[in-house]
This record gives sequence, structure tokens and C-alpha cells, in this order.
Amino acid sequence: MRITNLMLHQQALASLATNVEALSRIQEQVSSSKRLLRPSDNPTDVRSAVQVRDALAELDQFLRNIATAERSTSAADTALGAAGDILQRARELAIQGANGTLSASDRATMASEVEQLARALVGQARTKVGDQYLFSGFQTATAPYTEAPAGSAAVSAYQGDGGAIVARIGPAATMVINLPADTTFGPALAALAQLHADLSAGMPVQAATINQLDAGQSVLLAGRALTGARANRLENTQVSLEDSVLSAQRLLSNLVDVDMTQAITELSQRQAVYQASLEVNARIIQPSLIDHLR
Amino acid sequence: MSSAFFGLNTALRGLVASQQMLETAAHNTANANTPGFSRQRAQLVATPPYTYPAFNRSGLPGQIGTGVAVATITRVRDAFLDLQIQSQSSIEGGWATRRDELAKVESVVPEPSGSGLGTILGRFWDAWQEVAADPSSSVARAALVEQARSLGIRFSGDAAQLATLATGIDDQLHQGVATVSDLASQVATLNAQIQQVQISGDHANDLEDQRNLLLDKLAQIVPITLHPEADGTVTVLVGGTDLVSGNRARAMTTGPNGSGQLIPTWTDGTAVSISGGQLAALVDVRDRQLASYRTRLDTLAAGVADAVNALHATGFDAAGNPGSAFFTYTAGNAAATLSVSAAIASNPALVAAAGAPGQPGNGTIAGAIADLRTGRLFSSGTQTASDFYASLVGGIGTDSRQATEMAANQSLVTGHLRQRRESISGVSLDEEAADMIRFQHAYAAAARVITTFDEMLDTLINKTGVVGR
Repeated sequence: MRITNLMLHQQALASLATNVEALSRIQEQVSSSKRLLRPSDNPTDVRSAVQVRDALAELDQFLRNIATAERSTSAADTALGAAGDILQRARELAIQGANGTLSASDRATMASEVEQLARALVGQARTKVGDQYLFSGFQTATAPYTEAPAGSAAVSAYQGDGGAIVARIGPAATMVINLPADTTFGPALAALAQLHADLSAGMPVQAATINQLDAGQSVLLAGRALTGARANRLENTQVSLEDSVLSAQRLLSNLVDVDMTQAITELSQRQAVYQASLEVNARIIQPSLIDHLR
Repeated sequence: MSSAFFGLNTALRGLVASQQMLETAAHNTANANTPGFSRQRAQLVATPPYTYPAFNRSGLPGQIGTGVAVATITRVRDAFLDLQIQSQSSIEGGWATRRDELAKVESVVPEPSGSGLGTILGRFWDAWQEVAADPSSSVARAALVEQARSLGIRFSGDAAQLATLATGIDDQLHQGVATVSDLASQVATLNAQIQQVQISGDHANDLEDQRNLLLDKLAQIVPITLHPEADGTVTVLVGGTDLVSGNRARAMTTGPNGSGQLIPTWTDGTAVSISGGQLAALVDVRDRQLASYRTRLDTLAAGVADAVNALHATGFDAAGNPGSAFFTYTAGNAAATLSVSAAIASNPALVAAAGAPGQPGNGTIAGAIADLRTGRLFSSGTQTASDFYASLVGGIGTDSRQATEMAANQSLVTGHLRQRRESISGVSLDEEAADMIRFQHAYAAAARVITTFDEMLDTLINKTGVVGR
């Protein structure tokens, strides 16, 4: 093939351009630490990366939802625990009150303590998370019970509803995070009202009332057990979600991030090739026959 | 018997021929870097020999040579290679244009950085989850409305970017046809000049080089068919119509096609029928690829808005009233016009999060809308919104990558062809330098012959017949 000076020149330029382009691509990768910078770099991987990134965002949201749900379950657990203590004290008073030898003033003192216990129990039922009532179903703006008038332990009708508040805690996984007060606190409140009525009437506390207290206590315990189970499930879900987040992050990183060792090795290779092509071209282009004629 | 002065003329011819050869070498050397220049060669022929006049046979041996002359100066060029380069240039021009335009489209979907529409869409679904978790929170509602507004802005921003790219293509079409018309009139002018030179029997080497260069440029923009005519002109056909014929050039302009899109047309309004080159690539990218991206963006916007609106209408707002449309958009132009309904935008309490009226803690509808994230709303129930967006990104990436690869391959093909042409027609300085020495020596030798004849004549004229003087 006949080679002209212009061909040498063009070939030199073309190979320099190719080397510079490859060099700049790998430099871009190293400095951004990203293997993929635009969809055309690898359409399939970029497509997967977009989906993985979306899944990752969703997982983050589930974790936030779990944090929110945990506030509810821990508040419920505290409230139900305190309610159990209240009922425990009420039962002690009831056992004392069943004794027929008590004086009227003793009974009156005990009745007023029971009234305070009833108020405290209503207080627990009116537990709020943020500015929302936890035990009112969907009626989160309304307290489940209004306070009884002074001197009375009678409780108002349940003001909430049976609405189940659902938290999204995983892909296609939901969990109810609230308990309506009428099924949780209702029997215990009724039992306290009965106990207060028995004591106020000046007669020994009836065995039926004590049974009622026991039934109320077991409903509260069942509620607390349910709350504990929910807290466990939240915790387990959180752990497995965090695992999923880690593996999604790893996947995304594999798709998008550059392998630094490999990239830097390639970078120095490219630099060497570029330098070599510069030197070779500088040597080739310079002389022609013209340089050697007198 | 020949004249004593006969040889002097022969030597003079050698002198003149060598000078012309040197001049050609000078011309080649001067144009070593001129684009489109083909090296020229002066063709030497021996001048017609002289037969001594005689009635029968002169008695002298043979014919006597009369020296040398430059018969023609031709350019070294392979016309077939020119045709190949022109047809491959059209393909190269087309792919390079696609590559450049699609690279611009890629900036509309800045993935996998995560700063694209997909992330905004994800945050939108997240905001619904926050409302579902706490429907009575005015903060969560306000955040949702803000995210929804961002989503609308992002959709319309992306749609606007695609529209700007389409407008940019229209501008390039205007420029492209202007360049074609300009090149065509230059070719027509050169045709006329070349014709003049041909009539007088010469080769218009340099003018033909210039015309080839113009035709190469033209071929990148539109595919051309060439018909060389006997008078030295070349007829240039574009899509079967003569763009250049003799010294007349036709103007190319732009006009609307059936669907109102700008396309290259002739001045009488008929469309230029082209399938390769830059202009056809521009039209194709705009009408096929940009239009398809735009349609998919519209589908995504409308799909999300419709699904959200359908669920939202079944819900109840904070005041217990039934939900209205959450998003509004203009059908057929969904992405560009998607926005949160004005009423909801100004009053987030109107977000219908509840499944029943009068339940401030009820976020079932908000939850159901958040669940749309995993709902297979697109592609006949096979793709979620995120999948659909990811396929759009993948589609744009694939198109762009294909164009980049094809442009690179095609530029290799034309590069090789151009190298071959350069190998044939290019000026080699070494070659010219070697020739220069050759011609210089020939010139010196011819001059030496003249000196010899001069000395001979000196002997004859000045030194002969002087015996006894």
C-alpha cells in the first residue's frame, strides 16, 4: 500500500483520539467511582439498577413505617402494662372489701381509691401517640372514653370505633397496629365500676365482681400479649428488611459502582498506551526525505 | 542530413518538459495538505519523430527523435472509490446524527444516578404511605401534595425536554436543507467551469477535486446518485430528482408533511424521498424515537394519574366529603400537563385518605394508593410504574448505544475507504522529493546537452575554416 504523509498524520491522530477517548472514559469511571454513567453504557444493567433503586427506596419506606408502628406498639404495651397494675391493685382492694367486718368509713376510703383507679385506667385508655388516641379505632381525634363525674367510677359509652389501623411493613405485608378500647379496656372498666358500686353501697364486694375483675385482667393481659407479639413481628421484619436493604445495596453497587482495583489498573494501562502512542507518533511523523536533502 | 541546430531544439524540449514536471511536483507539494486534492501527474510522451525528406529512401538510418513533451496533466483518482465513499458517507452521516441526538435524549433520563423521574415517583408513593400511617397529620398531607407537585413538574419538565429536542431537530433540518442548496449551487457553478475547460480540450483537475469534495459533503447530508455527463458536468440525483443538472441547481427547503411535521421538500412542496444521510436520520429520530419516548412518558403519567384518581374518588377527605380527582391532565398530552388538582394543592385536607367518612384515623385509601407502587398498571398488566419507567430508560439506552456502535462501525468503514483513496490520490512528500531530484537532474542534463551543442556550434562556426588566417 502506498502511504502518504497525510495518511501517517491521520492515522496518528485517529489512534491518539481512540486512546484519549478510552483514557477519558476510564478516568471518568475512576473519578466518579461509577461504572455506569448513562443508560447507553449498559442498557440492561441500567434498567436493573433503576428497578433495584426503586425497590431500595420502598424498603426504606417500610423501615420508616416499622419505626412509626413501633411507637404505637410500645405505647400500647406501656398503657396495657399500667392498666394491669391498676387492676391488680383493684383486685387487692376487692379481696379486702369482700370481708364483711369492714367499717363503713373503710369502705368509703376504699371506694374513693377505686374511683381514682378507674380514672387512672381511663387515663391509660386515652393514651395518645403524637396527637392521636391510640385506642379509639379510626376515631383518632376522639378519646375512647370521657372522664366520669367526680364521685363516680361509671364509664361513658365507647366513643371510638372498631377501625383497624394498618401499617405496611413489607412487600405485601401489613400489620394492624391499634386495639379498640371497648374490647381491651371495656371489661376492666366495667369491673371497676361494679367494684366502686359495691363498695359505695356499703356491702361486701360480691364474688361475681371479683370474677369480673379477673375477666377484665385477662382481657388486658391478652391485649398485652397481642401487642408483644406485634412488637416481635415488627422487630423480626425490621431485621429481615435490613438484610434485604443490604443485599439490594450490594446488588446496586455491583451494577453501578466501579471495581476500583480493576479500574485503576486499567487507567494506568491506558495512560501507558497513550504515552507510547504519543512517543511513537512524534518519531514517525517528523522525518521525511525533505529533511535529508541538501 | 539534419540541421546542425536540430539537436538544440530537442534539448530545449527536454528542458521545458523537465520544468513542467518540476512545476507539477511543486503544485503537488504545495497542495499536500489541501482537502480533496488528488496528486497530479504530467504524462510525458516522445514528440513525433522526424523522417528525413527524400524521394524514395533517404539513405539515412531510421527516423530521428525530436525530444519530449508533456501530453496531459492528469489527476490520480479512483472514481469507483469516490462513489463507494459517498454512499457509505450517507450511512455514516445518518448514524452519527442519530448518535448525537440520542445522546441528548439520554440526559432526559439521568440514570443510573437516581436523579430521574423514577426516584421522584418513588417518593410520591412513599408520601402516600406516610399519609396512610398518619392520615390526620396535616404535615404528612402537605408533604404528599408537595411530592405530587414535584412529580407533575418532573413529568412536564421531561416532556418539555423531549419537545425542545424535537424543535432542535427542526432547526437542524432548516440548516441542513440550506447547506444542501448551497452545496448544490456550488456544484452547479463548478459544473459550468469544468464544462468550459473540457470544451477547450483540457483536464480540469483542480476543479474536479473541488467538486468531489463538495459531493462528499453533500453525501453525508443526503444520499446522492451521480451521473457523469460527456461534457464533464455531473448530474446529482436526490431521491430520483435532479438536485444539480449541468449548471442548474434546485433548491431544497422544508415544509410540513401529512401530520404537520417539518420534512425536507423541494420548492414545489413535494417531499424529498430520502432514506439515508443526516436529514433522514433527523426526521426518523424525531418522528419515530422521540415520539415513542414521548408517548411512553404520556402513558406513564396518565396511567399513574388514572389509577390514583380512581382510588382517590372512592375515599373521603378530612371533612368526610367524597374524594375528587387528585391529578388533572389533558388527555393525549398527559406528561406535559400533569398537575395536582388546584383545590387539593391549596388545601391538603381534601386528600381523600379515608375509606369511610368521619374517621380521621382511617388511611385505608391512602394505603391502597401507596400499594399502586407494586400494582401492575402498565403493558397489559405486566409492568409496575417503576418497571415501565425502567424499560423506557433501557429503551433509550439501547437506542443510543446502538447508534453509537453503528456510528463507530460506519466511521471505520468510511475511514478505511478514505485511507484507500488517500493512498491512491494523496501526495507523498517523499515521492515528490524523489521526483524533484529526478526532474532536476533531467533539467540539468538537458541544459548540459545545450551546452554541448553550443560548443559544437562554436567549433563549427568560430573554429572551422580558419586555416591560414
